[in-house]
Amino acid sequence: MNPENDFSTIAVTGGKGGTGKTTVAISLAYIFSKHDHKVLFLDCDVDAPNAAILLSAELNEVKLVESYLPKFNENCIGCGDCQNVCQPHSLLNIPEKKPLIFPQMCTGCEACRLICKYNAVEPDLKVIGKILTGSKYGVDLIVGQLEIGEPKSAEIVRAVKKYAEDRLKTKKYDIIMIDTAPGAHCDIIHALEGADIVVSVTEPTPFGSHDLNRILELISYLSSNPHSTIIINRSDLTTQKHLFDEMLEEFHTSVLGEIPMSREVQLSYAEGVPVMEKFPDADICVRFENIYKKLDKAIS
Amino acid sequence: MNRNEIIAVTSQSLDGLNALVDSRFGRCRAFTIVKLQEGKIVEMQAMENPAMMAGGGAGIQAAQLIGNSGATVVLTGNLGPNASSALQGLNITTYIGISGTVESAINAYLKGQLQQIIEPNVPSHFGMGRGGGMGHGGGMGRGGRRGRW
Repeated sequence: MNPENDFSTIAVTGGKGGTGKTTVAISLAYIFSKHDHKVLFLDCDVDAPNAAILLSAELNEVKLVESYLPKFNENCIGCGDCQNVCQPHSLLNIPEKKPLIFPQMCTGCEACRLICKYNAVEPDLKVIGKILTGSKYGVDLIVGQLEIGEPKSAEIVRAVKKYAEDRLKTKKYDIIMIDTAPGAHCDIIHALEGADIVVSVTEPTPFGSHDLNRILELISYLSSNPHSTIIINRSDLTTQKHLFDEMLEEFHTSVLGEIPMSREVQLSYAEGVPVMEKFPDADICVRFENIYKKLDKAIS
Repeated sequence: MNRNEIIAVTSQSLDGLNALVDSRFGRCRAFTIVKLQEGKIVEMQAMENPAMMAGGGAGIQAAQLIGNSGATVVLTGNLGPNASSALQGLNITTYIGISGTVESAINAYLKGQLQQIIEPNVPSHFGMGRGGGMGHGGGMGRGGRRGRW
């Protein structure tokens, strides 16, 4: 699909939380790997990265993601210009003294450094997240994890992709699998940009339908113009699949597959083992095999 | 107690000495700033609190306002972690346990009936959504974290 590079990027998202996005993503990674593809998995659900847990993969911290924080030197006369310009109220002006910094409020905009007339502001660093790596079942993992309470999840997603770009220079992969966060906010956009195929995981309920609409709309705005598909998970939960008909037509989206509820999925999910590893003879394996075939065809 | 000082009282309105006190600090409706000379009120100013609607950093913003007003004492009900650090950084002393009107709060202070606090007594964002202050929750501080130099 990408003539310059020789890998294809498949992103799994869904809008609604708990639809089975990560379970689908790791299952797809697993099956692609079993079919001798070289898979790099990017866990971009940085608020709560779970892929490694579902694979029972060990992770090693390899990099810290840092953001700017101001540091005041002896040139500071306590004039208060920086405090005035600080939007998140991260600085307190103490007359004739250096400002008091509230690091957890700082969003790293550097306005304080730009406004200072006395060269009193130097760049310091604050850790806003970390990158971890691991490997299991032939799938290499790059995981982004946001520091609790930090607002800039999109920065961590960017850092994951940057780390992946560097990895691609030294190791060959033909499939990049991306797991995104639930929702439709900017870090999902960052995760989805550049994907060749986006798979939205949904469920046949009004909740699933509502959130699917939002994510399909978001996907239609992506500049990389990916091929858009859905997987209906828990497909036998209701008989309301028709909820999706109009939406699928409006957003030129096809159904990649349907996955009924199964005890095998529940048990393997709870144990942290891919379902196809634990129950190789289950019906779900056939379903994923068919999904794999469709994706493999779409890629070549 | 020093009888020549400027005191800020968290208030529910701009009615000055007759205003009812507000138990919140960072997201109170207003501040009533009172100048005392030898224990007597000689000046009074009521001002709205711009931090009332803030999603985050209300305590810091409010503390800056109080600092700029020249007040060295704050009378209030609750102090969150950011507000506590900020007021300490500005060398402002805080007393809690106020009730009734601004005037009665000041009298209680002068009689030594209020309790001084140096640690926060409520968590972050405690005053949000209690009759005002509907922020969007951006920039959530970590409870108990101090500011640093």
